Amino acid sequence: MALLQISEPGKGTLPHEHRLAVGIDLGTTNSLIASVISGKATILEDTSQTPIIPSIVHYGEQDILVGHEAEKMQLLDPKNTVASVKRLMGKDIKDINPNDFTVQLGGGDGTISIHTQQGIKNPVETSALILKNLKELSEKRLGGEIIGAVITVPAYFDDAQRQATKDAAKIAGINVLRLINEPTAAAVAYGLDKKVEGNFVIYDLGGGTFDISILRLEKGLFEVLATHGDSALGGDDFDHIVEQWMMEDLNTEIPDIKTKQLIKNLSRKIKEGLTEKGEISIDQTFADLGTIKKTLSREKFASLSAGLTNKTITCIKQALHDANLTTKDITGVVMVGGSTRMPIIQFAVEKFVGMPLLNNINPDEVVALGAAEQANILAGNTNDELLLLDVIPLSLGIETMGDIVERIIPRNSTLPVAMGQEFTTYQDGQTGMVIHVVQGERDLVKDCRSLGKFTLKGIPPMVAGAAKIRVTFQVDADGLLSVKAKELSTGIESSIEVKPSYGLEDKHIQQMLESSFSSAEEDKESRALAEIRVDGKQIIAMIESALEQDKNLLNQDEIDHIYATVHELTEALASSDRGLIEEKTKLLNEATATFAARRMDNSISKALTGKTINTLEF
Amino acid sequence: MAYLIDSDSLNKNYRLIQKSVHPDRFISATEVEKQQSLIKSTQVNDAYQTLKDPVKRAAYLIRLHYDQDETSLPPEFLMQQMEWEEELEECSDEPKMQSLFNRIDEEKKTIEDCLQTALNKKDWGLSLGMLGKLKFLTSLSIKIQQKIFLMDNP
Repeated sequence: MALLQISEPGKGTLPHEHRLAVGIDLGTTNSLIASVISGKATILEDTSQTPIIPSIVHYGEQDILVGHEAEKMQLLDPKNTVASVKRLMGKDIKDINPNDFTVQLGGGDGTISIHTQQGIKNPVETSALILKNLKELSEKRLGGEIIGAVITVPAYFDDAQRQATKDAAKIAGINVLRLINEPTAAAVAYGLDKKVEGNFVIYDLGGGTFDISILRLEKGLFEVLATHGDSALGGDDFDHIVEQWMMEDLNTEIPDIKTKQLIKNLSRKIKEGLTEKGEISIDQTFADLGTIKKTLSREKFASLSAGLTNKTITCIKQALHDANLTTKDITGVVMVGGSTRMPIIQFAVEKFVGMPLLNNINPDEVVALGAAEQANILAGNTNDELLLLDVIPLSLGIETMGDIVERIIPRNSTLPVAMGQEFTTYQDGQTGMVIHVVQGERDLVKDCRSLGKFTLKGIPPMVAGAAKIRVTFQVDADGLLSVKAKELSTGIESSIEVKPSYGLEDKHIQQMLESSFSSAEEDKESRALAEIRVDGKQIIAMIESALEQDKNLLNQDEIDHIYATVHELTEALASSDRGLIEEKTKLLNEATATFAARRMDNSISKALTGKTINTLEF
Repeated sequence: MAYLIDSDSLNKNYRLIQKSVHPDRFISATEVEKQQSLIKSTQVNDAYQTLKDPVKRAAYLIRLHYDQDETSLPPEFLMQQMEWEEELEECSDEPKMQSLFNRIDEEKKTIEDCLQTALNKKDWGLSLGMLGKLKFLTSLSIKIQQKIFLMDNP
């Protein structure tokens, strides 16, 4: 389809057909889903008529509950209720504090296992249940199948966390149009791209994560100049401050998990109450614990949580510094995340930047709304020229001798990006090499996030230091990494490609994917055949129309070869042989690779000359 | 290709090209096209970063014409380097640091001018020497800025 799109970037392939696409804000505490309906980004509500759906999953004896239903089980059956699963995504058990969770967690070798009465679950499949619930909700509301979704992630998410999120979507049966950073989505929702040019700070304090992004907006183009944040700081920590304040006079441990949950909920209520009121009083008796009778003023709360608030201000300073800006260069500040409703936060940020804040869109909804607009653009439903150019938030490197990290891609590089580095052997006759990929800003391997290890074999034996191995990192537009390694010195190039998998292997994901389809074997087979037939027909249509437009880019032999391959695929399509159709489709794709490359080059020249034409027209 | 470029038109062209090749424009394209789009878009980013940055641009220009890519800096410059580094070590307050920063910045401008002249004359050997100095000065000025930042935000 994009073969047609090239000459008119951004235009839909089928202008008369609105393709249903959604934006999903997959949050730590709550999730939201939105879609552009009649030209306006709209939050889709669930059956309880609330737009905010708790990111909670309950593994019952027989069934699985998600959202509001699961939230009710938090008190009744906390041991089988998983909340804040986002904090577990792409993490190792040693990265987190298991006491923060009511469900029992285990793990090792790079993954976390969730122990429920339905057996051992992992964070990715749990997150997939939340996504699947949102997908079903949206299809009910929109009255049709969605073609894909833009899913938001904190700008500070590392590769493992992004990959885990994408895997969860895959298991949920969602076609991910793009992963975008939450702050970027918020800026889209405010329409900053259309109205103004300048540097914007996006201050995003959610339930469990904190993000700062500095965006430069210029002529419909977004650039993320810097990102900073703390993936373990959020509204929950402010609840915790209130909790400590409540418990300080009691001198006892909370006796049981249910009371713990009650105290937690009460703390949150007090915190939220302080948004409207200057002070909140409580007088409540807990069995086994005693009575708590206290009053918390906004001022007291501000001073108790000054450490947390200052931490966020320091992050703004660091991000501005990274972007080579000062507060004077800021055009506006966008507030995102329910926690930015806290007056103490608004006051602190306003004081630091010295200007009023942009906070007129509901801070809980703003990310999902922006994601929906971006999904609408990517689906080709608008003529919007907006192009998001995102950056990689954390540096990528590999381990070298002495546990030192050699940085290959520095953070804040514009995506997509590829960079390489040459390495050599350190022993005579060495034929293998372990490449350990890490992400982070620190110099020592142990202080960075380990993304994966792979072995490069078959290096020709030679003296130490003679082999030349070029390791190339490619990061795509979703911010996801793939690594290639090549041995160059002998002229023989051996290369492997590895995607770091963070505990979940592709075949594991495939299994989860298959188990989520309840249909019978033959059902699956006929469905697969139908899908591949549609794909094949689409490719032929695209290629024929591309040939019509750009035949001049090919010589007669090349044209004949493509037509011959098209013919082979057409014949294969008439059969019911899935393997044959797959093979011929692949052949046709290969046969048109050069053509696609030339068309791409051609479109670059067109883009540049188009500028002159425009100038002449006006 | 000349060293001096029009950065406005660089930015404009960069945007135009990214708008036509970026993977966002190929969401529902074939695998081949997606792959091509990723490759091109990556190249365009690389080219833009190279052309935008005076140091990278000069290095690239020299590499196109000259088969050496490293040269030793003259002893006087090495001495001067050590003096600057020492001065930075000993800097204890912000005004002193700011004054050092300003001097380094001045020096940087002088070297940039020399580099530009050398590149225009196609004297690649001399250009390479100037580039070495410029690289050092650039990283030193970043170091000073970082130190000033940390001083303000302990």
